[in-house]
Formats: sequence, structure tokens, C-alpha cells
Amino acid sequence: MTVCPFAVAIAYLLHKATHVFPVVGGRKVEHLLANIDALNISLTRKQIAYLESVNPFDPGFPSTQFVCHVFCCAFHYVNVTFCIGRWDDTYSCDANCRKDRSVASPPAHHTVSTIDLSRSMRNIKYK
Amino acid sequence: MQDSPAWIVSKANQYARDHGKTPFSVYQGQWSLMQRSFERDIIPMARAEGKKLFGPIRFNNFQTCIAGLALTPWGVLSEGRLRTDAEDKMRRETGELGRTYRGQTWERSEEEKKMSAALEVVAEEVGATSIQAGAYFCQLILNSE
Repeated sequence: MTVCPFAVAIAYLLHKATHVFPVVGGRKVEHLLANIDALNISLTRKQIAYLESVNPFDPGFPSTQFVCHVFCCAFHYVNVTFCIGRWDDTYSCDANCRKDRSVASPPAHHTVSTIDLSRSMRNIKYK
Repeated sequence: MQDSPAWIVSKANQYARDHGKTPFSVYQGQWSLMQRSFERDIIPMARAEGKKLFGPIRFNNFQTCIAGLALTPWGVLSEGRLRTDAEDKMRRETGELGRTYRGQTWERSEEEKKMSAALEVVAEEVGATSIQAGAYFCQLILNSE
């Protein structure tokens, strides 16, 4: 299976956050098919780290401050304790990628809506 | 909600909640491997908008509680400037070139060339591992029978 580099760029965004629906503007059928491929790609943490290292990104103030991290953690602790949430949903940018799924399970062949549904179902935790 | 600062979305959503109106459900903005400033404030905002700070979950706020803001990034391929060297060459030869609008060139910058090369490396890796994963999946099915 050959994978188009564009599909990897789109898959990267799908890995970084939940409920992502990229707006793509292809002009050829091949573009469309390559973009659909992105749904089947699962990237490892190592691959994501490699892509991010090519053009380093500085989140800047206040994201780089320790105090900001403490506040975010406190906010998240409150959410997890009193409402809904997950600990692995941390607020730091680099930890946002999903867990390395490619080793444990094959890539999921889902449509966008079922991916979205399964992700939101996973987020539900009643307290 | 589109291309606006995170605090404006937050304030508008709070106004909506306080006045019994529907908060925003989607945020659209520029986000790609070349333009990652989206990750500073927009993504944490989108996550936090879906969560209530205190109180039990009720059915009428079920959706807003759990889903958060969905994200619809635009410019995901840096407006067509993330492409392979081979495609670049083909476009030059056929005279197809590329889209030039808003005063932008269709040529790739040095950073975009570097990123395209990195994407090609990862695409090759992914292509290889997908085959393995597919094989693993077949094995599972066979074993279960």
C-alpha cells in the first residue's frame, strides 16, 4: 500500500485532537482519494515527534511557563473529579496525540462519523 | 465560529449559556504542520468549552458537556504547497503550475520543502506498517475461525 504524503499531513491533525474535520480543497479525483486515505493512517508518537521536529514550533508565553501548566492541571483535576474527563486528555500540546495504536491494533477502517462517535463514547465517564 | 481569538469564542459561549441560547459547536481556523499556532490557545479552548466546571450532568446539556467544540481546520496542506518534488517537477513540465491568489506564490518555501520531504519519509513508513497491520488483522480472523 502506498500512502500519499498529503494523507499523512491530514492524519497528523486527526491525531492531535478529537473531533477534527479538515476542510480540504482538492482539484482532482486523485486528491480526493489521497485525502480519504488519511482516515486509515495511524501514526506512532515517534512519527509525530519527527514531523514536529522538522520545523520547531514555540508555543510561547504563557504555554511555556510552569505556572500555566499548574493552572491547567488544576482545572483538569476539577473537571475529572467533579464532572467528566480523562487524565490522558492533558492540556500540553505535545501530549495531545493519541496513544500508539499501531502496535496493539490494526488501523480502524471507519467513516468520519463512526470515528467521531467512537471517540465521544470513549470520553464518557459518569461520576 | 471562524478565525477569531479563543477568548471571544469563550465569552460568546458563556453569554449563550447564561441566556439560554445554544453555544457554538464548531470552530474553523488555519491549522497545518506549517502553521501550528492553532495549538496555543484554540485547542485548549475547544476542549475546555465542552466541560462544565461543577455540577451534575443533565440531559439537556449532555451534548455541550461532552463533545466540546469540533474543529474544522483549513489550509491543512499549507494551501497546496505541501507536495512532493516529483509533483513539483510534473507541474513545471506540463505548465500546470499552481494557484496564485491573495498575492501568494505557488512555489514552496524552504521550510515547506523540508516538511514535504519529512512527510514522504513518514508516508513510506506508514505504507510499510499498514501492510503489516493488515496481515495481523487477517491472522486474527483466521485464528478466530
